[in-house]
Amino acid sequence: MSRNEFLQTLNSLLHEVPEMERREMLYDYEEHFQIGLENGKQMKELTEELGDPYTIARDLLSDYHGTSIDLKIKKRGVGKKIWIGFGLFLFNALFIVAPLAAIFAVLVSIWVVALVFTLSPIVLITSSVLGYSYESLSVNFFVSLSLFSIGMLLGVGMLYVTKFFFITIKNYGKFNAKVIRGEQAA
Amino acid sequence: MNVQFKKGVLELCVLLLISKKDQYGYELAQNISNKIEVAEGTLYPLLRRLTKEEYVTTYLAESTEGPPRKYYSITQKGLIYMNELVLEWKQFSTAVSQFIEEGTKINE
Repeated sequence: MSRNEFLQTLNSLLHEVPEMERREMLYDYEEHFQIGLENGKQMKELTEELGDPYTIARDLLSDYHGTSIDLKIKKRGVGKKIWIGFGLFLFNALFIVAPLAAIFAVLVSIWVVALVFTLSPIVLITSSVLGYSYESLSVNFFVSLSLFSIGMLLGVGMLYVTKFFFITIKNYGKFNAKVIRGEQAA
Repeated sequence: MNVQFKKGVLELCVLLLISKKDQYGYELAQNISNKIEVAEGTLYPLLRRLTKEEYVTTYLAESTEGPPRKYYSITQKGLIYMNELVLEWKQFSTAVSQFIEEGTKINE
């Protein structure tokens, strides 16, 4: 950011302050740049050291208003809340629900696979014992043992994945509520 | 570090530096940022507030090079306020040091 950019940004952020006082505020930064350059500093260095014009403007404005603007959380009217809620509902219906349903379906199917694998020894071994299987008992035994362990591992892994899935959904819900109430997302 | 906390400490540092010697904004910013990591731009709002509350006054003085510079000087009211802050800070930091000592003992 250049000196002019910095000063212009600050100037436009302070537009609600009367001309006289705004000039005074900006003067401090003009002087800072002036002296900094005389001392052989680079423009880039100076703007970096000064920091974010938005933070500076917030400080200046909160002093100008005599109160901290951080404390003034904008209260939204019911009408506006309904509108924002409706907008969010549309957005969610269009862009969020379908992918979410797809992910959910995948999760459910992996759970089913894990369950089937885990229960496979019962089917395979009983069918062998009863003589319904084409494979010998030992082959069925080892196959079912492998399937069983894969099923268990899959199940344990899925516990974490599913938990993460639901926590994410919950947080997204909270985020939506915050947006409607009008608090900052941070 | 917590922003609000840092703001309070910065106020004290600014008053201490000015009480020792009248300084212009840039000089003050350098002296502070040499030791504390701070966005120098936020010092000017702080200085404006201190001026508004009559803890410091400003005057323009010619410099050998370039335009006149705005100097900050502490007032009587500012000195009293500064001494209060110093006392508060000392009590506060003693308490925190004790907590740190007790806290680190357990971990040993």
